[in-house]
Amino acid sequence: MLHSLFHKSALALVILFTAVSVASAASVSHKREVLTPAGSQGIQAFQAEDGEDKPLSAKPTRLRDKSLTDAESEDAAVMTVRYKPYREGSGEARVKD
Amino acid sequence: MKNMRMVKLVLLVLLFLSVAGCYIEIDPPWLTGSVELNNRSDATIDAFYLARTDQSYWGSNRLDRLVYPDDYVVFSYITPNDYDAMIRATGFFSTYYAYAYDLPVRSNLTIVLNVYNSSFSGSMEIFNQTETASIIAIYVVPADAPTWGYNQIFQPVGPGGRLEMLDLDPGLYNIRIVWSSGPESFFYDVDIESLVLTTLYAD
Repeated sequence: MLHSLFHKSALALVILFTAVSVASAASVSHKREVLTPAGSQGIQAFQAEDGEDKPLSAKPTRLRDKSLTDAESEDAAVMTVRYKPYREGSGEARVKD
Repeated sequence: MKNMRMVKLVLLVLLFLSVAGCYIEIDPPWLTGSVELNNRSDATIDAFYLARTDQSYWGSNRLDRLVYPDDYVVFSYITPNDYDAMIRATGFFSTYYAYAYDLPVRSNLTIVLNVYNSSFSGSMEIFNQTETASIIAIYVVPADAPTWGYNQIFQPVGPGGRLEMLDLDPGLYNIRIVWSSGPESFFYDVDIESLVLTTLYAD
């Protein structure tokens, strides 16, 4: 009787622990998508040493078409806008003098 | 009895796999890529955006600290794909941006992004110096553009008001200002430089 009770308790514990650890593993894999800034802690060992050098540019290779919410100035006398890049054939068609 | 042993065995195997799953990463570092951002400019970078090339928005800022001149930051565990990057530097006078497109992030590789002074866009401010007229439209186009393109403002700039325009590629621009009353104003070959706020007075 005692032996059977012990077995049942052990089984229940195993099931409970399995459920908890499966849930924990799922949450870990969910967090893996987050980008982690390593800062000045240095480049980590697994990274290749000969990475591709790519300078940034103010001149985009194509038009800046990703959206970004711009904060508008609270001061009515000051308006801040982001430049809408010129696209040939768009906007006002009036020819410049 | 035999079935019970089988159930216990299966449970033990499941337990082992799930515990191991807590410690073994499904996307281990050697299956992800990295981006290293080197600030070789005089500006302090305060935001870094990294979005998949096919994504239509930049998402949230990835930096949790400022990146000062001669400093760098490494972004790890990036799922391999093609990405676009944008950085922002907020200076004393204005805010400037720089871009890199189609970055091929691949497993076990680090893409190095070097930021120079010339990497950044420039800004422009226009003062309405009149006492009664409002600016109702502003057209800003590269000097060699054949037409005037978009109206850049979404509401009038009143008398005494100021417009700040961010994120212009360095180069020469022509500017046309339309007033609520009176003739239009024109500025030709206005030079926009990286990390510089150029000021125009309109009346």
